[in-house]
This record gives sequence, C-alpha cells and structure tokens, in this order.
Amino acid sequence: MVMKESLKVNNLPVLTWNKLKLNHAPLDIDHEFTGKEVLKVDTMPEGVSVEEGIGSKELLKRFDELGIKNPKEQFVAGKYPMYNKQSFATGMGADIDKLMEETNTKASVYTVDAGKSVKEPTFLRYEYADGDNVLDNTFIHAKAGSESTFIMYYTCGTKSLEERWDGKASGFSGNLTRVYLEKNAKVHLIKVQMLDKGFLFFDDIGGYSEADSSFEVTKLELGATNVYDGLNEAQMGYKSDFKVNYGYIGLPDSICDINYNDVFWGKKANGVMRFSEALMGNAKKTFRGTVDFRAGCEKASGDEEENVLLFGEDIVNKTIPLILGEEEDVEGRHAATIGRLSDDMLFYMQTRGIDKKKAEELMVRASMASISAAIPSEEIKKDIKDYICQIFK
Amino acid sequence: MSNILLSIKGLSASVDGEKILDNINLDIRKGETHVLMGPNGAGKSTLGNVLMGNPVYKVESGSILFNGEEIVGESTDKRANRGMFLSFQNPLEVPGLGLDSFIRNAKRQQTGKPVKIFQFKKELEETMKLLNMDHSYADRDLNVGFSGGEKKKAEILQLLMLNPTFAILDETDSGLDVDAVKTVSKGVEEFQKNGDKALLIITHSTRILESLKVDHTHILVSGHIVKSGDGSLVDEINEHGFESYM
Amino acid sequence: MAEEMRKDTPIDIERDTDAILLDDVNRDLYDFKDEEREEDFYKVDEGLTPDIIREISKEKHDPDWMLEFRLKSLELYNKIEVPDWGPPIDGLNMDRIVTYVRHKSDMKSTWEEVPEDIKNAFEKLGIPQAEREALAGVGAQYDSELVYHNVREDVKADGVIYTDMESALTGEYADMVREHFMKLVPPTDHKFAALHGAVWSGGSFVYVPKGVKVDIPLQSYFRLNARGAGQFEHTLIIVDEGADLHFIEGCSAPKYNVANLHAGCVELYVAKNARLRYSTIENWSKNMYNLNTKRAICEEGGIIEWVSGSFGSHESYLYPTSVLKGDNSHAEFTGVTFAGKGQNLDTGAKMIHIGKNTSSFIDTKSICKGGGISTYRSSVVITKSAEGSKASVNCGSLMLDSISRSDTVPAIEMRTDKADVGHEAKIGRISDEAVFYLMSRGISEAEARAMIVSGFANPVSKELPLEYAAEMNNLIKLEMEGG
Repeated sequence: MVMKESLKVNNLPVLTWNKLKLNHAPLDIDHEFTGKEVLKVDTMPEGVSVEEGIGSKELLKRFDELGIKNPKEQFVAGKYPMYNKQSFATGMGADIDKLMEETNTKASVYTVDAGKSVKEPTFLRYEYADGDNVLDNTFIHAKAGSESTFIMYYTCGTKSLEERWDGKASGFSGNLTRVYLEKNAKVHLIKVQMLDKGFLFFDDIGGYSEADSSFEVTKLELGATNVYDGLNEAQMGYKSDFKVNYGYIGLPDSICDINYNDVFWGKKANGVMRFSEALMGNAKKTFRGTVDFRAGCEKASGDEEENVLLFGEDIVNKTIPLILGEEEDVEGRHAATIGRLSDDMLFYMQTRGIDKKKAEELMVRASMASISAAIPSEEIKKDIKDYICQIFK
Repeated sequence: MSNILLSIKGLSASVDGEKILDNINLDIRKGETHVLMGPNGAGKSTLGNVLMGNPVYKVESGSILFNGEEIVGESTDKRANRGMFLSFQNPLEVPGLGLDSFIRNAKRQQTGKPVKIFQFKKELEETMKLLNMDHSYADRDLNVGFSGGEKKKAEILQLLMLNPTFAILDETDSGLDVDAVKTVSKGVEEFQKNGDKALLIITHSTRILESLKVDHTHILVSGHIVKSGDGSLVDEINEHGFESYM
Repeated sequence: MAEEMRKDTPIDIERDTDAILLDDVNRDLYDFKDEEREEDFYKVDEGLTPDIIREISKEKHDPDWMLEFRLKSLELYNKIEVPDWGPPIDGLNMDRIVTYVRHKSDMKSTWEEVPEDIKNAFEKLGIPQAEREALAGVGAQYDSELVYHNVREDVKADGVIYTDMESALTGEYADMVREHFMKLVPPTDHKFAALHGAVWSGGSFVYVPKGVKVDIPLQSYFRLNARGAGQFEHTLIIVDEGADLHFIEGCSAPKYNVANLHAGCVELYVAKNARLRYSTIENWSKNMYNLNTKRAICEEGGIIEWVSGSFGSHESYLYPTSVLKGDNSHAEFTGVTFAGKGQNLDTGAKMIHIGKNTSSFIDTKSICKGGGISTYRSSVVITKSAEGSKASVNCGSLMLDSISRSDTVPAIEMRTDKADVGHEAKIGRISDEAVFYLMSRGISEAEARAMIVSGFANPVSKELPLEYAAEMNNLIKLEMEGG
C-alpha cells in the first residue's frame, strides 16, 4: 500500500517569524513501505536481549508501565504544544509516531539487564539496496546500573564515493529510536549514516533519563541527500548526564534538517551538545538546537555549540539555537560559529606551508575524526576515513 | 657574493590604522642568529607576523626580500614553502587532527610529493626523543590539552621536521620552567648546526639565549630599532634593562 | 489545541484593581493621570471603519493621496492575520480602541503657550528641562498630535528640518515625504503596519542635509494619556550624505484599566557615509500593547546605531530592523529589556546584509522578574550578494526568580560562504558570591542586587547620554523595588 501524506516534523519549541521557515519542516511521504528486513544484527552481546513485533499501542502501554511520561506542558504563549501529544517525546515529533502506527510498523525492544556492564557493543547493521523503503522502530530499555553501547550503521554496502553519488539507487530509511535510562544506567548510542545519494533518511530519537544516568549520542550523517534528524532528551532525574557529538558533511545537492532539544527537569542535570558541520556546493542545512530549562531544574547546566564551515557559493545555512528558561538557578550557554576558517587558524596552518584549500580539508577531517574517535568499531572508522578522503580527492 | 637570506628595507606596518612598526631595516645572513629584544608592546611579535604575512597587519611601506625575492603581498603558505617558519607564542588547537598527521600534511605540501611513512615515522621519533617528548604526543590532537611547555616543544618539533632555512621564534621561552627551556634550547641548537640556516629569536627575557650562539642583537622600542650590536648587547640588557632606550 | 494554548494572560485589571493601584505607587513618576476635562479634547469613536478613517483624514487635512493610502491600509489590516508566534494579543480588542484623540488647541513652539494641563504632564516628566540642558530640538506628542515643537536656531540655520509629520506632508518637503513614507515599512508588512498606515497620526519628520553634523541630540517625547486610546505616530528621518545625527525618543503613558495600544512606525534613511544613532527609552504603562515597527536602511558606508531600553508596556513586539543595502555599511543594536510582573516583552533586532563587506553587531541584555516574560528574538540574514560580511550576536539573560521566564530565539540565515557569523548567548542568575562580596563592603542585599542588575545593563546605559542613562538606572531600581 502506498502511503501518501505530508508530515509536519522538527517543530521549533518556540515559534518565530514564519517567513524564516524555521518553525517546522514538511516531510512528504509518498512511498510503499515494503517491510523488507534490512537489519542484520552483527553482534548481540550477553546481557542484551531483544523482543520483536511490539505494536504501537503495546509500546505505549509499556512506556506507561515504566512511568515514562513527559510532564504536562505548562501554559506558555507562542509555544508548540509538543508534549501534549507524545508521552515519550522525540525530536521530530508526534507525526512520526503516527506514521509508525499507520504503517503498522512493529517495534523491537532491546533490554539491557540491570547492573550488567556490557562492554561489547550491540551492532545493528541496516543494509539498504535500491528501492528499499523501510521504517524501523526501536526501543532501548537500559535497566538500573547497566552499561551498554549500541551501534546503528546505515549503509548501502561498501562502495566508492562515485558509486554512492551516481544517483542510481534510491530509497527511504525512516527510523525511530527511543532510549530509556533507568537510575545509574549508561548508554552510548552511535549512529552512522552513509546511504547512497538517492535516499531519504530520517532519524527520530527520544531519550528519557532517570537519576545519575548517562546518555551519550555519537552521530555522523555522511550520506543521503535528504536528511531529517530529530532528538528530544528529557533529563528527568537528579544529576543525569547527556552528551551529543554530531557531525554532518553536506555534499552538493544535500538537504539536512535538524531539531535537537535538551530538556532539563531534574536538579543538577548536565547536558552538552556539540555540532560540527561542513556544507559544500549548494547544500542546504537547517539547524534547530534548544536548551530548555524547566522550573525546578536547579543547578542544571546546559551547553550547546555549533561550528559550521561553508565551502560553496550556493549554500544555504540556517541556524536557530534557543535557550528557554523557566528556572533561575541554572547555567545555560550556546554558541555558533558559521562561515570560513578563522583567520588565526588559517594563518597558523599557512605558516607551516599548508595552503587554504588543504587547511580547510584538514579542518573538516579533524572535526569528523574527533567525533568518530568515540566509535568502538575499526570497520566504521575506516569507512568514514576513506569516505572523507574521497570527498577531497 | 651575497649570502643575505632576509633583507628588510624601510618596513612600516600597521594594525587597524595604528602604526606599529616604523622604518625597520635589517639584514640577516645565512648562518646568523639574530635576537630581537624590547619591552612589552614594542612591536616585536608584529615584526614576526609581518615577515610571515599575517593578514591582520598591513604593510604600509618598505620591502622584504627573501633570497633576493620580494615577498610582501605573498600568501603565508607560499612564504612557508620558500623555507620560512614562525613558531607561535600561543599555538592553536585542532581537535581531531593528530600532531603527526599535521606535520606529514605540511611536509607533503612543502615537497608536493607523498611522504614516505616509514622514514617519516623514524625521523619523528628521533626528533621527539631529542626534545624529551613522549612518543604518545605524536598521536594526540594538535596542541589539544598540551601544557604550555608541551606546546612550545611541539612548535620546535615542527621546526626541526619541516627544516626551513629561516626561522622566527616568537617568545618560545616564555612561561617555561628551567628544564623545558634547556630542552627547547637544545632543539634550537640542533637547528643552528646546519650553517646555511638563520634564526630570528624574539624574546623579552634572555634565558633561552644562555646556551645559544648569538651574532647580532637588536633592540626594538615603540616600533623602531633603537640599537643594534653583537651578542654582548644581550648581557648589557640583562644588567640594565631597557630603560636607557625608552 | 494550538489555539487553546495561545490564550492571553489577561491584564487582570477588573479582578485585581487593588494590586494594580499598589503597583502604581512605585510608578508615580510616569503613571500619574493627567488632570483633564473631556470637553477640551476631540476624539473619534471607538473601533475601525472606513468612516472613522475618513473622519481622521478630514480632521487632519490630509492630501488626497494620503486618504487613499489610509483606506487601502485598512483593507489590508482586515485581511492580514495576527501573528501566530510571540505574545498573544487577543486581550487587545480593536473595536474598543480609540484611534484618534487630539487636544483642541494647535501645536505650539514656545513652552509657555502649551495648555496648562499638558504642560504639567510634561513638566513632571522633565521634558522642557531636558531640552534646556542638552537637546538641539524637542517635539512632544500628547495622544495623537504634537503639542509642542522647538528647534535651536543654530541647528535650524544649518538647514536641519525637524517638524511634525502633518506640516511635513504639505510643506516644503512634501515630495520627499511622499517618496519615503511607508516605503521601508509598507502596510503589507504585517497586520499592525497596515493598522498604522490606516490611522497614523503625529510623529516627526527630520531631514539633515548633506555633510551637516548635528552634535547634540534631537528629542521627541510621546505621551499617551487618553483612556483606551491608541497612539500611532510616524517618525521619518532622512540623514543625507555624510551627515550625522543622534535622535532620542521617549515614551510613557499613565495606567488605565483598559488596554491601550501603541503601533508607531519609525523609518530611517541613512545615505552614503552618513551616521544615525537612534536611542529609545520606552516606559509605557503596563496596560499598553506596544506593537511598534522600526526600520532603517543604510546606503554605502552608512552607519545606523540603535540604543534601546524597553521597560514598560503589558506586551511588546519590537525588533528594530537594519537593512544594510550599501557596501561597507554598518549596523549596531544595543538593547536592554526588563520584564516585570504582568509583562510579556518580546524584543530583539533584525539585520539584513545585502551590500558587500557589511557588518552588524547585536548586543542585548534581558532581565525578568516577578513573573515577567522576556523573549529575545532576532534574525540575521546574510544574502548571497553580501560577500565579505561579518555579523555577531551576543545576548545575555538574567533571571531574578523562578516564576519568571526568559527565552532566547535567535535565527541566522546565510546564503554565501564568503561571510562569517558568530553567535553567543548565555542565561543565568545573579551570582551569590557577587552579592556576598558587595554585602561584605556594607551594602544592603537589595542594593547589591540592584547594583548588579544595573551593571548587567551597563553596555546599554553607557551608550546613552548621561541624563538618559540616569533615567534608565532609575527605572531599573524602580523595577527591582516593585513587586
């Protein structure tokens, strides 16, 4: 059955001038979802178990039983009432839940045993071929005191850049991933996307962190010309920790739409989000990043930083970094640096005989390398390195 | 016969419309070590930056000849590839870019040829040993999390690896402890060994000069060279300071 | 659902009169209700119809094109939706706003001639006094029309024109006015620009000829005194090539228990290599809906500097816009906003870079207290043609308690890779250590906190002339004490 509808995703938590076209992104669905199995579980270490085929209603019931419930939105004028619609909020929003339900996409639930420190990563490989239109719904439940790493790797197999970018293969990869961290749980979620040019990729993430938990997200968007990325993290518990390292390379013709929200509810919660992006040719990118302090999150600290290097005459870069404050006793900061390589850095590189073009390449490689360094897979690290080398060849 | 490597003639420079260097004249020959001293704010670092072509500074007049060729207006990387080098007071940090990979990239640009990995690694290892640098620094991100002393050593490491013909050392000894100064001096001595090289050492103290051979000393005050002399001028400054020149 | 969420926080006047009265004690200076007799004033009926527009136009002796302009604007006003972002304005019932109120006496050019009641009102605010001390010229608007206008002789002699808009429309500069009037802020821009086009009245016209540098500021003061009325003054300033001007605008109104509306419009034209500084201290009373539109356009090498203090009003939508059209033109915006109890102040700036090598700086401070909501909102747009441009945005928010709210909503759009934009924002509170430090030197806690807040707003006050900086610090102190 072909699904045809227009979704409203990546809603900006506080609306602004409509003219800027930042308040939300339209996501047009006109696809037949095949339900084909693209996922291969490479490794499933001891201490992690999976349950398949969980329907949308059943999943909601589980959230309820686990006590996952975003507190009711307080009345605030001009705000998008996203929390009223999702009990477990995600970055792209309620329309993605609706899509999963309408397409009857069953969820897989991964559970990490309580107190278990799982060193080996759970490696989920999503391998796409031409014409694959697939939705994936994953819920990771990290029980109290557990420690785990999940790698989700989206590719069309190993190919050269020319092959990836020849536009022959196309498809749709839609992903919804929720992570629930109980007390003291630790999760490192790694997502690397290197699909072919003709793919549309969306990745909607929701995080919900209890006290003393630690949630780290490492993310690299390197393929597909049409990317939607959303994340909503609810730092519910006391002293929960949240960290994002995000990298994006927008090759010519790419469009990327991002909406990351870090919402602080618990006292002394700490969140840091870092984004490094490079845009080339006529790439277009929209970035929404929000640090949201809710009443009662005393002594919370939120920090967000975006660095964008621009290398194309026809690029379009939109950035809207929000800080929302309902609580006085917090520290919040965001910074954005957009444009060319800084004069200081360029001069330093040049004094060592490195010219401007090479210096730019080194900076892009460096920023992606510093993100991929945290990926415990030599295979993926090598793929990323080779890929970036080819871009600059 | 001209063995003049660098010739500065009537050089004036400004930043944001404010004149910092005024009519500087200076010749540096192959094999010579020059020291540029002066109080804070005299324009010493500016001279280093102007020689290297930092676009922040504007050359108002004068010329800089390197090996007899005019380099004013030429981009910094081209100057570097002619064999000029500037060691920074505050080297920049680049997360994700390894120190070894940075040097290798610079060498590749210098020669236009791929660098032979094995030979490079060996050379790097030996040079690091000379500078008492732990080998693990080779894999670490450029200057990220380096202490002040480590940053300075990494600059000297680059100096020795890139092997320029003329190097400017900008306050390379500032903020270092006694041992670190010794190590850095050792690196600079190593560079001096080859008779074709020349050095311009910018400093406001004299610690780094104790073990180095100095041929000429210049004193810069308010953008002017107010006095030039031989190595003994360093001792005089050591004793009396700059007061009599101000 | 979305509609439900957007209910206005009512002013609560009917329910909470005592509290408001108490609040007003602290604002005596601005909130006194001027003694006036109904029969001294001419006003149109409440609400908005073509007939009311015709009546206003006739009363003001508009040229024909202006009546047409007004009627077209009214059509637009009825078509354009209210914004779906920002503070909700459904508490504002346009059918009940009186759009035109005028004292039945003509504009005067010597202070003695101004009617006693109005004079008293302005004397209390220190307007003529300020003129004697530090201004090159003063205009004072009371409700819908200017009641006083005076320019120093030496400034006049340089060819500087400073007059009320009505005289300008038919005077020597009529063509210039027509050429520029609502060209920068067209009535199609948004609903309240359309409203302004329909009912505007009063305001000032300033022309500074080529090369003339006015070395002391011109000032204009707006007071809205009538109950349930709107003020829609239009300010048009043209600074010709190489000229230089500082213009200061002040606003206030007493508090009534019905909504008042201010939908003024400021259009600033900065010619080649000219410079204009536009300073505002806004202190409307807290029943005011302040939906003001301000915009400047700079030609080659032109400089616009905005200095803006927002303290009053119930709700504000205020984002002065700078259009950097000419190469090497430059804009600066320095602003402070203080939202206290019952206030929802949505302020910021817009920068549009079109010319090459243009530059802009935004530096703002927001403070909120006692349940107030302050939102910093901005957009910086670097168009494809603006190669070599640089923009920087720096905004700080200070929250004085946890019943208030502070949001920062800055947008950046870049369409060239040959430009650089830097942005930094911070939110936080008064540090306990700082308070302790000051108290250890014998300063009371309240005083210490007020000092720290004044220090936070210092980047703005230091840009203002001394008397205005003092007024601003006074307002901060008042806000810190109230509630």
